[in-house]
Amino acid sequence: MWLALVACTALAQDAAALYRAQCSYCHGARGEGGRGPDLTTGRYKHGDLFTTIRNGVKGTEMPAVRASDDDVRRLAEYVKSLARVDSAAVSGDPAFGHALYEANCGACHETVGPDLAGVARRGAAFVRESILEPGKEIAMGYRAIRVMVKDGAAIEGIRLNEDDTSIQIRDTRGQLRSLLKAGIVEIDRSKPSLMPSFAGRLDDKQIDALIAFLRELR
Amino acid sequence: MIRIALLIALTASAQVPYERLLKPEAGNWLMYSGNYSGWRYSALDLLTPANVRGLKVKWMYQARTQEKFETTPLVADGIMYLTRPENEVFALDAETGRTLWTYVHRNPERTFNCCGKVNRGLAILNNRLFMNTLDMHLIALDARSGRELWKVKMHDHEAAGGYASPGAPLALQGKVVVGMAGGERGVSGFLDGYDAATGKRLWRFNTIPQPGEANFGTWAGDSWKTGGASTWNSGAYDPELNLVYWGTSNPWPDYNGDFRKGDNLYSCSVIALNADTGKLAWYYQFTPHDLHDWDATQIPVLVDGLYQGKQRKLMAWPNRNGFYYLLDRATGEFLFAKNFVRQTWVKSFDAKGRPEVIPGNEPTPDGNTSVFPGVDGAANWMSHSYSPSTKLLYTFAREERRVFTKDEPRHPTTAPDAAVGRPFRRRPRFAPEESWGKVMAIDPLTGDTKWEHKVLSPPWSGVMATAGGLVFGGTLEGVVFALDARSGERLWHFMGNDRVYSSPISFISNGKQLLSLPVGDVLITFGLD
Ligand code: HEC
Ligand code: HEC
Repeated sequence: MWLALVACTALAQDAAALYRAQCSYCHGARGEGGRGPDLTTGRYKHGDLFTTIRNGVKGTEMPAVRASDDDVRRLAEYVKSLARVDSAAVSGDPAFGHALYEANCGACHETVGPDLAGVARRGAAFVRESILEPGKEIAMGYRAIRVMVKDGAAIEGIRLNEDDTSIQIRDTRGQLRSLLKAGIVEIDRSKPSLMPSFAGRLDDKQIDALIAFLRELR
Repeated sequence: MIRIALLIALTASAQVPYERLLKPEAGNWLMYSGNYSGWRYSALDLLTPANVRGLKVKWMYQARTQEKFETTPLVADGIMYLTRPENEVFALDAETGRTLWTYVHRNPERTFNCCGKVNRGLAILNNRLFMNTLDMHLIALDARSGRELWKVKMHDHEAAGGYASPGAPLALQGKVVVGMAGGERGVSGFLDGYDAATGKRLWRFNTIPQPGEANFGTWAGDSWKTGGASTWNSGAYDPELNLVYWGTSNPWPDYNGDFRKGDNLYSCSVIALNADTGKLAWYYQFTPHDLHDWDATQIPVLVDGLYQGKQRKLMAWPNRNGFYYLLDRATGEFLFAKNFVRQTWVKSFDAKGRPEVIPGNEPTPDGNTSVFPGVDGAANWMSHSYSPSTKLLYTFAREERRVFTKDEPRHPTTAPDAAVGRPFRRRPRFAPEESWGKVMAIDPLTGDTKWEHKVLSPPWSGVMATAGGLVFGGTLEGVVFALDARSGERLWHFMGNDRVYSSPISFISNGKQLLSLPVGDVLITFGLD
């Protein structure tokens, strides 16, 4: 137990040292941002931290890190730990929130929507905004798309990947689809989120309850 | 057996004298741009619109690098020479991709590259290969063995905010011309000429006029001392005029011009230098007092043609700032400019080619989101291509929506490293659909667009036209493509599934036309069966 703890701390120190040496001059000593963006919000526009840190961000100053995959994993954990936890009190009732979640959110979030575990650490305001104005800021890798294929069928879902020859989609039933562009008549990107707005459908008390419930989904 | 014998025989006599560089044979690729005119054109016509659909992967070279793989290989008499990051040189059998020798230059832990520890390639002359390094060395290798012949230090790489040298050198008769980077780090730019035999420096041209030199005084106060104006890509050469042409980078600091008022010569310019003396023949500044990091470090494209009834030596230049320019390359005279992507910053040009700038395009502390082209520009360092058979200029243009933020830069020499941070402001995000790429065919004499081929994302690949009537390139998603040079129709593609950050080359091996392009960290070579 003691040994394991020491090992853990040593690894954490490694990650901190790596971060200090290779990242802090752009992202700030505590991740507060500088030449690179703030890493303390717990929101990552590029999604998967491992991939971002491993490969860098094309066309920006964010370099591919020079470290082993294990180190990159540790760096990703370290970056997550830089996120400020939102500790503001919430008034909602988590059990009521759970019921609301099951009724309104769960089915979709378990097929096409993003995993909501940990989402509440980004703050109550963010969750509230996500519920009321889903299209405002799209979770990376979750852009909605609607594609008309040659036989007249329409496929709606999340755009998983795309190049000039094909497009990969998770459709609204959760099925993975890969379509060649040669067979596509029209691509509609005008509605960026699949999530409906709950403005006018959920009141403040219900939203507080949902936030309280989501906080427990760590 | 026959092939082995052949390779050894060729290796022993692989002489690439200057005369061969003057008239490169179609089957080899002897310099970064393929020829001195910067055409990136293959005179091979074995691949055609009729047979290109049969192109297949012939071999791959695995660079195993996390850095961007930006090299342009050279091919001379059956041997391919290429660099992989940071500064390693490989000689490969061009038929199989098998390694013949390697050379490794180790840089110190900290180098001062702006955008990755990249290298874009080599130059060859006689039996020598030349590579410049991130820690500011220029190295000559024996092309047969990879043995180091000499290594000179061009400049202290740690001076000011830091110097580096990532572009491909240009070999001329008996000499090598080499540029440097550091426009984001408050350096003082130059272009150097070295003796190919000894490594002795023959000349240095300061891209920021020093006190006592012509055109001194276009920088407020002391700002000229740290003004950047680097020369980080490669150049072109006109042997008849004996002029070397090279583009220069942005002035420093990029997005904040407050303490460098003035035109900031010779930043964002093309300079024409006498190849023997390094003396300035003429310059033209595309973007006076740049505030948008619109480097003019594109490869110059030299074309001859009838302009307004007169046969002239011309220079065609799709620039990062969104305009296509035609200049007279003997005199530097501005002939015209025409935008080839959406642009918001120029109202008009006067007769000398000075832009009248539209106010409101300056970077702002909160981020100006209404400026076009974007930060990475309409063109960047990736090669354009010119085909003498279609008489068209091909460019892989970037239509991009971005944000320009005015920051408070630290001073490279007086502020300590700890002060590097810029206050970070949330950047607006744009939908991916607001940016895209397009291969364009432009009539260089008029600037008129003949066709456009749109792709999903703004590219980091250059293009190469061939005598067979094709234009090759690759996308950020890794789609390697062949377009019909006359119509822009896509005839063939290959899913490489990783970023393309380089420009293609073509050459002959065993009587077949091959095509090579780095995709991700793999150099893929294609050919017909
Ligand atoms: C030279 C400056 C620089 C260095 C060094 C650097 N970064 Fe970055 N980083 C950036 C920039 C700029 C971005 C923003 C890229 C963009 O525009 O999307 C970024 C983005 C990121 C992101 C993505 C954030 C998101 O919203 O998805 C993560 C995570 C990240 N960096 C982690 C690291 C780590 C870990 C290191 C050290 C191994 C590191 N960075 C080193 C400049 C840097
Ligand atoms: C029809 C499907 C669907 C339903 C129903 C739905 N969502 Fe979503 N939700 C999504 C999708 C898709 C996204 C990602 C796109 C985006 O960010 O808008 C998302 C994003 C979110 C996010 C932001 C996640 C992130 O990582 O940025 C939150 C929080 C959220 N939803 C909460 C809820 C809650 C709470 C409910 C129920 C009241 C709900 N959603 C109902 C599909 C749905």
